[in-house]
Amino acid sequence: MNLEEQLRAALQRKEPPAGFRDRVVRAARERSPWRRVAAAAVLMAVLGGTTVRYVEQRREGERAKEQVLQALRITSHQLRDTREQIHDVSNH
Amino acid sequence: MRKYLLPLLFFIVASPLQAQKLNLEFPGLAEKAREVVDITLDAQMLKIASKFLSATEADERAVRIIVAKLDGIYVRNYEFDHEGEYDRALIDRVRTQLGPSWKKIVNVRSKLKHDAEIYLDMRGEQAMGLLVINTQPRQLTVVNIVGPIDLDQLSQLEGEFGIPKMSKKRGEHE
Repeated sequence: MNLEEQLRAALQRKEPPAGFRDRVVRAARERSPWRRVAAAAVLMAVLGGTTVRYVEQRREGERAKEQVLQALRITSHQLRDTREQIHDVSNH
Repeated sequence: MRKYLLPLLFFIVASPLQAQKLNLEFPGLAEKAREVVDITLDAQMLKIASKFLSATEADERAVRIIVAKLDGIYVRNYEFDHEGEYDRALIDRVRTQLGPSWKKIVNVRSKLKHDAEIYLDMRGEQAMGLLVINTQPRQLTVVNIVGPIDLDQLSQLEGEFGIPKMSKKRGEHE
């Protein structure tokens, strides 16, 4: 058998086995409602989880920023205060 | 043997540059105090914080530049109702942790105001750490900054760059 004949044999239209269509339709009907609900629930959970994580990270970042500002404010204040005190002592 | 040599050499070269973090745990002190400020920011937290500091606004950019180089900021501030409510030996415990690279640059003793000590962790020409101890009869403040520091840059922050100025009266910000 040459290549052309081999291809023709391979691509030849074949009838599906008996009851194939019914099986496909039944399977599609069986899975449709619950699978959709489950998929939607999973999607919602993933989206919800991502949102919660984003909000938490944002809150943590803002808190860290506030702490940095407060820490530097205290440090800066202590340094200035000490500098002024040295200034006072040296002026007396 | 050779595969360990390079990391060992790196450790030996790099370790003198590693800034020293001090232990600022004062068990039981917070319970006695009327007001407590306890800030612990390690390198990871500073990295997170710097992401939230604006790179375009001048005020926050100045803070961001300082913070970017640091490995940690630790602040302990305790205010008490009465005098003598904290043991001065606590401060000795902090001082004893200081290695030979720490230099005392300021020592102020005052009967009228407060006592202040400032130490720098000098690694060659570079200050790699700062310790501020400020003691008053009713207040104790200890600040430890780990990493390369510019004192002038730090002291300029107050009242500028968006960091509110602390008034003499507690809790009042300008």
